Amino acid sequence: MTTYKEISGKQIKKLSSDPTSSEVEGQIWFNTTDGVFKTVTSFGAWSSGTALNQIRRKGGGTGTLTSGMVFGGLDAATALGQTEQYNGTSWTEVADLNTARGKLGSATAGSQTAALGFGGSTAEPSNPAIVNNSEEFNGSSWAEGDNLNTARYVIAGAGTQTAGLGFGGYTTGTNRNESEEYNGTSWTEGVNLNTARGNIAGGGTQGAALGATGFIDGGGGNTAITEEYNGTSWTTVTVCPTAQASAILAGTQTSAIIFAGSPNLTTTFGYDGTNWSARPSMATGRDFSSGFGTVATAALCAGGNGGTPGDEGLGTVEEFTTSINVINAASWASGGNLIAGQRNGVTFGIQTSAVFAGGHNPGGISNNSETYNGTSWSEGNNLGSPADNAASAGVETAGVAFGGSPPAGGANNDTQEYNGTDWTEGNNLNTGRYAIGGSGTQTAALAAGGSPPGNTGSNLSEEYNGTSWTEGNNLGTARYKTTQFGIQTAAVAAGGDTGPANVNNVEHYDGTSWTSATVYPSTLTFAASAGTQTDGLVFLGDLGPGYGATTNTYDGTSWAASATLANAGGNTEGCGTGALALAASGGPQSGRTNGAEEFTGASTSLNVKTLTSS
Amino acid sequence: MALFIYGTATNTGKGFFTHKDRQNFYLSGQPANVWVVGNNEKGALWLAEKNGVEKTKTEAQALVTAEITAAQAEWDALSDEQKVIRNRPTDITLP
Repeated sequence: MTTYKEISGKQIKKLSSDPTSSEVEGQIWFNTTDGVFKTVTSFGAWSSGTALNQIRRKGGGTGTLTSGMVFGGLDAATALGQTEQYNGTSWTEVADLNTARGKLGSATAGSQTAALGFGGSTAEPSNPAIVNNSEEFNGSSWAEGDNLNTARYVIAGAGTQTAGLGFGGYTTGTNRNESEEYNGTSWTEGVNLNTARGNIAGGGTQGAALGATGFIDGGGGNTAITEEYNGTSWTTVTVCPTAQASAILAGTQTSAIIFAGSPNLTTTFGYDGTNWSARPSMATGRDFSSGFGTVATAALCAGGNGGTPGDEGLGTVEEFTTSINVINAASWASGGNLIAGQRNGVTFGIQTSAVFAGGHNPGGISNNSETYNGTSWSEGNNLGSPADNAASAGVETAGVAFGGSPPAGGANNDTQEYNGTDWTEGNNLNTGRYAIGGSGTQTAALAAGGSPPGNTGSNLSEEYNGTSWTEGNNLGTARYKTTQFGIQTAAVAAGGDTGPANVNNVEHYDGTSWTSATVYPSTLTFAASAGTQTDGLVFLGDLGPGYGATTNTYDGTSWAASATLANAGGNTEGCGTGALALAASGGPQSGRTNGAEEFTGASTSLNVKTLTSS
Repeated sequence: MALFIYGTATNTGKGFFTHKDRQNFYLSGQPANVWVVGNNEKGALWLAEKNGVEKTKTEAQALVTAEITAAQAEWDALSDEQKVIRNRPTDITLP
C-alpha cells in the first residue's frame, strides 16, 4: 500500500491528544485516541468596532484594519471633506480633503501616509456636481493630484498612491467602462471593463485588480458580474453568489472578501481567485459604506446606509477578523453534594480543595465542617463553636473563620483556625459581628463590615496577622451581608445592607484604606464571591426582587455578566479563583441546600476539526 | 412547541449536570427537586438519563409553591432578629 510519506515525502504525526499550540495551524495529525485525522482551521467573524466621529456614507477608504483611514462621503445631502484614521482601537480626525465630496474612488491598497482619492460628486444628487480631480494624502494634508481623464462618480479603485487604478462609475445617464491608471503623477487611459457599470467593489493592486458586482444603470440593476485586471486586460470571471452594488471589497485578486452590498446586505462572501463562498454575516445590514482592508482576513466597514428610515448615514463600525481559536463560554456544572448542607456557612479554599463549615439548617446553628476534594465532600472535625453568618479566609490546610452569630443569638467575636484537620481557637476580633465580609489568608485576613446585635450595618474593618486582629480604617459605607474577595492588601467588598436599605456599593481596600469603586449591576446581599481584586467573581445573592443565579466578573474596574448558575440562591460564601470557583450549599429554600456548583471561566482553544474523505 | 420541559429529578452531585449540558440546553433548578429544562433533544435526553419524572408546568409549579410555603412557615417561626439575617423565602413563578 502506498503511504503518505511515499507520496509527499513527509510523515503524519501520531498524537494521543490534540495539540494546543497555535503553531500547528496548517498541519495534519492522526489522533490515536479518537482514531481520526485532524487539523486546525481558521474562521472569520464580524464584531463591533469603535464608531466614527463623523457619520457618513459613500466615502473613500484605504489601509489595513489596524492602520486605515476613511475620507469624504456624504452626511445627508452634504458632501464631506473630513478624514479619519483608525489604529485598530480609535478614530482620529486629520486634515480635510480640499474638495469635499462623496461617491469617490480610492486607491484601496494605500496607507495612512500615502492615500489617493479621486472623482466623485460634491453634492447630492450627483448630477451635475461630478468632479474629476484627484487628491493625494501624505499623512498630514491633502494635495491636488492630476485629474481623471473621465470625470465620474461611484468609481471603483485599487492599488496605491503611486500605482493606482480607477474603473467604472457613472456620468450623467451613462455607465462607464473606462479604466485609468495613475503613476503618482498622471492618469493614463487603459483597457476598458467588459461590462460598463458603477458602484463596483474594487480592490487589489494596479497589476492584479478585482472588480466585483455593481449596478448597471438604465434597467440592468444590481449585478453579480466579476472581472479581474492583470495590468493589460479585464477578464470576466466567476460571478459573485449575490448580485449587489456599492459593496466594499477587501484583500487581493486571489484572496478577497466582499461585504455591505446593496440593498442593505449583511452577507459576506470570500473569493479565492477562482470561486466564491459564503463567510460569516455582518450584524447590521448596510450599503454605501466606507471600508478598507488589504487582506481578506482583516477588514473594516464604517458607516453607510442602515436601510430603515432614519438610518441613512450610520456612524457604526464592524470589524472582520480571522482566528484559529474558538472561545469556550464560561459555565457552571454540578459539584459534589454536601453531606449536610447549611445556609450562611463559610467556604474557603479552591475548587478542588475546599472547606465548608458552620451555618444553619432547620435544626439550628451548626458546627458541622466538611472538606471537598473536587469530587466529593468528607466529614471533617467540627468547629469549636457553632457559628452562623460568619466569614472566612485562607485555604483548606490553613483557613480561618471569624465572627458570626452563635446559637444563643447576638454576635460573637470568635476566631477559629483550621489546619486541614482540626479547628483551634484563635484570638478574638476586637468587635463581634455577624454577616461580616471576609477575605485573604490565615495569616493575612481581612474582616470588614458586618453587624453587631440589632442588625445595624457596621463600617469596622480589622486585619488579622495569624495571631491577632488590629483595627484598620473603616469602610466608607457601613453595612452587613456584603460579599468580600481578594487579599488583605487588595480586597473588594460588594453590596450589602446598610440597615435601611440594600445597596450596590463596591469598595476597594489597598491594605490601608477603603475607596469607592464601580457599583455592582444591582443591589446585592448574601452573595458569594471568589478570586482577586482584578480577576474576581460575584455570584448568587439576593438581587432585590429575589434570589438570583447570576454571575458577574470583575477586572478591578468594571463588572461583566457571565454564566448563570443552574440554581438560584445565596446565603453562602464562595471560594476559588476567578477562573475556577466553587459555590457550596446555601440557597434560599429548603430541599436543595446541599448542592454545589463549579464554575469554569471562559477560555480559548484551537479550532480543531476532524478530516473527512468528502 | 413549548420552550421548556418540566420534571423532577434528584441532584446526585458531581456530574449531575456538566459544563457541556449547560451549553447544550437551558437548565434551572427549583425547590422540590423541580428542574426546568430547555425543550430540545439534548435537554429531553438529559432529563430521561437522570431518571427524571416529567411534569406539566402546572404540576411543577404546585410542587415549587408547596416547598416555598413550607419554607415560609419555617421562616415565620424565627425571631425578628433572625428574620433579618435569614432572608424571607420569595415566591417563584416558573418560566
